[in-house]
Amino acid sequence: MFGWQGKLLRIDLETKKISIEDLKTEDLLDFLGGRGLGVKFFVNEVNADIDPFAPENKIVIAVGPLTGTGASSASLCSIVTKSPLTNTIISAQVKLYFGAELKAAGYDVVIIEGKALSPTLISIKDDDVSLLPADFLFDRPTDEALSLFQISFNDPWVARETRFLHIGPAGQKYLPLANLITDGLPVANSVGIGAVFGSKNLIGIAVRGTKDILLYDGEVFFKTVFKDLENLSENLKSFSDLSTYLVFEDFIEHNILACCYFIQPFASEVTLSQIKEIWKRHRGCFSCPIACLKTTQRGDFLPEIDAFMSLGPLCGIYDVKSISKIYALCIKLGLDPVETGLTISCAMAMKEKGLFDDESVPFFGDKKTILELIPKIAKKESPLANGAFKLCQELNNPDLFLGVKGRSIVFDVRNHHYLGLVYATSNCGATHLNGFVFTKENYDEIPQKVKLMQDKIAVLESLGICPYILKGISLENLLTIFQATTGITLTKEEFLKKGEEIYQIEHNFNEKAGIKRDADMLPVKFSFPEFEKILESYYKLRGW
Amino acid sequence: MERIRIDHTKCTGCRYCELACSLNHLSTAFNPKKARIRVLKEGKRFFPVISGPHTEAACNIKVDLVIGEKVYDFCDLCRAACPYKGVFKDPVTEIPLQCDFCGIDAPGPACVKWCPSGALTLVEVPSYY
Repeated sequence: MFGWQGKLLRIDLETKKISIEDLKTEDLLDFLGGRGLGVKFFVNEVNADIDPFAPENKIVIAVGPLTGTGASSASLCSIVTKSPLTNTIISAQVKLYFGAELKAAGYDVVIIEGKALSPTLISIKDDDVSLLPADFLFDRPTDEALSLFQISFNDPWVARETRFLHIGPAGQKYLPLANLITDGLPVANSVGIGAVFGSKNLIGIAVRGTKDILLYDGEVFFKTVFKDLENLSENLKSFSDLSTYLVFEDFIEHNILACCYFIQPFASEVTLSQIKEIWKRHRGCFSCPIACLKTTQRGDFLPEIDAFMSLGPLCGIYDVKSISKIYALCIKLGLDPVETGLTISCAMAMKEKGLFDDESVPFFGDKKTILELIPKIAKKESPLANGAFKLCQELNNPDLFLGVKGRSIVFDVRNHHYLGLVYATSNCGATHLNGFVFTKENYDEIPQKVKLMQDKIAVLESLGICPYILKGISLENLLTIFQATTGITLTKEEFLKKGEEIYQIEHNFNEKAGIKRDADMLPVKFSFPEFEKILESYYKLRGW
Repeated sequence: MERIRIDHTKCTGCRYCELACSLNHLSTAFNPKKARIRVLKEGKRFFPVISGPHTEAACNIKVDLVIGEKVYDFCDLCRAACPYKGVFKDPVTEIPLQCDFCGIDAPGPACVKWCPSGALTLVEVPSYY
């Protein structure tokens, strides 16, 4: 089989039974891989109304047909499960090297089920899969856990080439704010999945693979990728230069950024040049020519725009160095930087209004107290530990929560209606990762463009390609690469249809889980007059 | 004579060189573990390393320590450049691999041509090197 490895690995943590199954060719052709295949297996095997923390909930990890090959930015590995934060299906995208290593180990899909009795580590070395005790990693900060794990090998070279995906102390305490960490980078869109890992007593997954990934036509592949690399478009070059801050100045101009939990508009208290000053090195994921990740001189990752806004200006902090310090602390504890920042910001807003009286919660701009508060959240010693949505409900002020389906909003969508519809209709709560395009459009086009972008991202994540590539490389370019890898010819329309199908399956799962139409609502504060109209025509397009 | 120059400050860790090398030598498959160039991560920096000739000789300060069933050989960073230790070995057949300055379209090795960050460049050096 070209492109795919054609194997499924099933691990039952409770009975410690490990089995390898063959994947059906029809499934691979219908759902491609990655997010598509992950969603397919998850929906088939798990009841929609399950409690996310129940042992019957499963974790499906899947790589795409292009993951691990040299196609531009093909590094993604999807993790699909039911999120305790939003109670919806969620698919996280693991970047860096984990996906490529899993593919090289010879598996397209890994399904983890059951609950281990004690902290466990899954070790995958090609065909040799084992469950190891992981008590030595329990309750350790993520950076410490990574180095402890690496020195447990007797061969430092093998330790370097083994990729580790793990949770931090927050995940081990079942916090809905917990996320996954790989190689010091928080996994995109993984808020809540850390808690599902924790509820299964699964501390981490270590992978090393030495198998070949076969190609249908090596020469065409080589030449196409080489051509792509040579003609890297200007758009991608500026994306590589500015990363997600590419939209920073546009957003300021259109009042899309805000401060102090959306009480004040953002008035350039921090400038782009101040942010860029601390970027010392560029980091790229596996086979990525863009290298949009920015690090310090020591190699610690720096926040992207969403994490930057939620930990910084939305909490009233404008000092770039303090923001990166708070960000680093979140990663250490395994907390999702975006959701944690917005939860603190929400609590601050309530304290400012006199609705919430807790000494550990600071006022806007108090960075010292925030640094003391975050470890308390990770230890579950603070009322903020369950997220902003639960906090607002506990205090009988559900209207103060600014988010969709239990997940908080980062950008002020009153001035960006396109993003408003993306937030409202996303299958895993308010996130821009499920269909970002930062342009202003007219109202007739918004529903169509949102749907197109959601489908495109679903299919790219199924192929294993990072959606950031859309900035410079179109879906058509990928058709040649897909053909050269797998030997299967698909048209652009067929690709988009698969994306639509995947989105539909996710939506159906959410509906069965009890997330009905009325959940697709923006908070009252962010609603705009045309919202009902564009939502209605979006539903018509989807046929819902 | 041409040599590959490595500028580790520019390396982003994308490992395109490993992919290019393995595709060029295996022709229809990718496998970074069979590449003749590997990106080594030390601390939080990346160092691309090219495999040199293989000989049956190791340095004389090398000590193997056996504890239980595990062998600790203390070989770490310098192993990448060691002509004896098996970093650059085919994982299945254990045959040593050596960089041959290949290229699908001559001139130029595949890794240099694919490197998107400019960390690998081809330089002309006098032949006495």
